[in-house]
Amino acid sequence: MIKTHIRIGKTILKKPILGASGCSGWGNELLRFNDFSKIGGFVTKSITLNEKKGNEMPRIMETYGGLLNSIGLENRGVDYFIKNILPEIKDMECVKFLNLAFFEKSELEKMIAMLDSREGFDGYEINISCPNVAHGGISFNSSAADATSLLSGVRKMTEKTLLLKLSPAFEDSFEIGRIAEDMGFDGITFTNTYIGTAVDVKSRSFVFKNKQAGLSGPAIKPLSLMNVHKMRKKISIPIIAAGGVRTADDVLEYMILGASAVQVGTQLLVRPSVLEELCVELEERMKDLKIEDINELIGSIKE
Amino acid sequence: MSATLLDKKEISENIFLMTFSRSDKSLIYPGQFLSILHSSKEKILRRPFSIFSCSEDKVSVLVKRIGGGTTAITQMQAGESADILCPLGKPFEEKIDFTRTLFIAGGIGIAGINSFIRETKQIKMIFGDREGEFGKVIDFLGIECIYASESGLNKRKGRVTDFIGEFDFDTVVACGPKQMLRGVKERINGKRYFAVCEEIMACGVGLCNGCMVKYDDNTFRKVCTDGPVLDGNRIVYD
Ligand SMILES: Cc1cc2nc3c(=O)[nH]c(=O)nc-3n(C[C@H](O)[C@H](O)[C@H](O)COP(=O)(O)OP(=O)(O)OC[C@H]3O[C@@H](n4cnc5c(N)ncnc54)[C@H](O)[C@@H]3O)c2cc1C
Ligand SMILES: Cc1cc2nc3c(=O)[nH]c(=O)nc-3n(C[C@H](O)[C@H](O)[C@H](O)COP(=O)(O)O)c2cc1C
Ligand code: FES
Repeated sequence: MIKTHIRIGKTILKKPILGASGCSGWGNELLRFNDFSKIGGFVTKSITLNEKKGNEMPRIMETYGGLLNSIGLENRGVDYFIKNILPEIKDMECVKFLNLAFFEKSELEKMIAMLDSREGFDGYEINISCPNVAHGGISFNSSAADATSLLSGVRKMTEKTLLLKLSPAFEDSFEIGRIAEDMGFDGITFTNTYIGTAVDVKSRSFVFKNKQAGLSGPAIKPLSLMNVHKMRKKISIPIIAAGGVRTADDVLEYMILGASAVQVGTQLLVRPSVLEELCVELEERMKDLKIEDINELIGSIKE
Repeated sequence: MSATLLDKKEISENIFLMTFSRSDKSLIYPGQFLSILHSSKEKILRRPFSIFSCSEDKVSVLVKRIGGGTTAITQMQAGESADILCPLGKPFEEKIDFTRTLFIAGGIGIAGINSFIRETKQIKMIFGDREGEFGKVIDFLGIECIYASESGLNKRKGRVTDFIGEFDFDTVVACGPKQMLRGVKERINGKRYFAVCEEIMACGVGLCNGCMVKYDDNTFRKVCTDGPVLDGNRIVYD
């Protein structure tokens, strides 16, 4: 029997593969394409305290081997989520993390207070790494001191699994990862998108109204692999890797470098059925490579 | 879904009618689309196309070659397999009274309109392009319509919106470039208006919020799952 279970905090993932935030919708869109009893799980789109409209179009542009996005955390707010979306996802058979985004610490605290007594999800992915909003959010990720004051006390608010999602754009992310470990976070999701941009040569203007956008997809995989490797040296709690995962071997690469699980973002937009397909492919690949327990793989890189 | 390319016809320069096998059993409604994974290495996303026509085991799309993805798709040969998601988009279930509906198509927007007029060719329609380059496509469809072209070459000179006044109607269904959809809204005085929209899409299935259009109350609709048929009077075209 091949073992693919891994544990992150209180959560057991049957497979070490999750749909990434912003590419998994609210889960229900994925149900049409995946048997949820066969996948690890997914992270919801970012939820904010109040409704957020999202950015102007265009929000998407393809680049060579990748994708730039400027979506802007569009969602209807936590109240709407609790009333209309949570009831729909609560019985889904896989692991579900709620991605929480905010502009001030008090917003994060209010959201957790409103959500925490409820059932139907496994934990939170605290997002301080969205490059697509002007204030708050990612600015917490740029300084370890700011992140410390922001995150202190959060652990006390919940017993559910607590993840922190970090940006590859700041050197301080590694220090913030270490601080989060000390505070009792259960895992670090790494990486969010890389900050990039594009220029329209005819009009000599930025393609995106926000100027900058987040780069994802196969193009970023080597960068995120290196970042996961660096993060592994800094922390000992689980890392959930993200960045250009498309194939079972991509999953294995991240795990050998020390990730406990991976998230799939962009490839889910290309192949919405990829979560289930990857889980099957992963087991086959483990058989080929004579790996019996996925846990033996984690951090097994030879240096 | 895995499909096979059964047939490819070059209807006109750079415009291909491509017919694929299908194995899904879903009903396909007017305005719905499908998405094809292509082999161009440069771009990774699927390419969306209106379902031009369909039967129980086949589905056709009319593809205009404009860039890397459509070039790769139109280079496929009969017998090759393709990865297709179909059908996508919200089923359009409003009743259409053909005697009271004006259809307007601009360029390759004809593909989005064709699925509405499967039942009858006796329709009120205006088609428009730049310089008559869709002539063979319109002949192929065998539709009687006002054919407007901006250059006027062998056609009536002007834009589709110049000819709306020639018809008596209470509903419009239009598909074409955004400027055309906007022009139609400005000429129909609030009559019922179904706009078949296109936006650059990443997923086409509602996962990413990449394909939004804005409504007049500052709310957004997803073209891929709330549309592609949307209320043309409420869209903010900018
Ligand atoms: C719901 C929907 C239905 C569609 N139906 C059809 C159809 O029936 N037949 C057909 O030929 N095309 C249709 N399109 C447009 C088609 O999807 C694009 O032409 C195609 O994706 C371009 O791919 P490419 O790689 O060849 O071009 P690219 O290299 O990606 O782009 C070439 C140029 O076209 C522009 N462009 C790309 N995608 C679009 C788009 N969606 N709308 C407007 N401009 C675009 C780009 O900005 C660029 O300037 C539809 C689009 C949508 C969203
Ligand atoms: C269209 C799109 C929307 C995204 N939205 C979010 C989001 O709302 N919150 C978040 O934490 N990450 C978001 N991300 C980042 C992904 O979750 C993921 O971290 C990143 O894309 C790298 O993985 P990938 O290369 O597999 O896409 C988004 C990515 C894309 C492509
Ligand atoms: S294209 Fe992804 S939501 Fe419409």
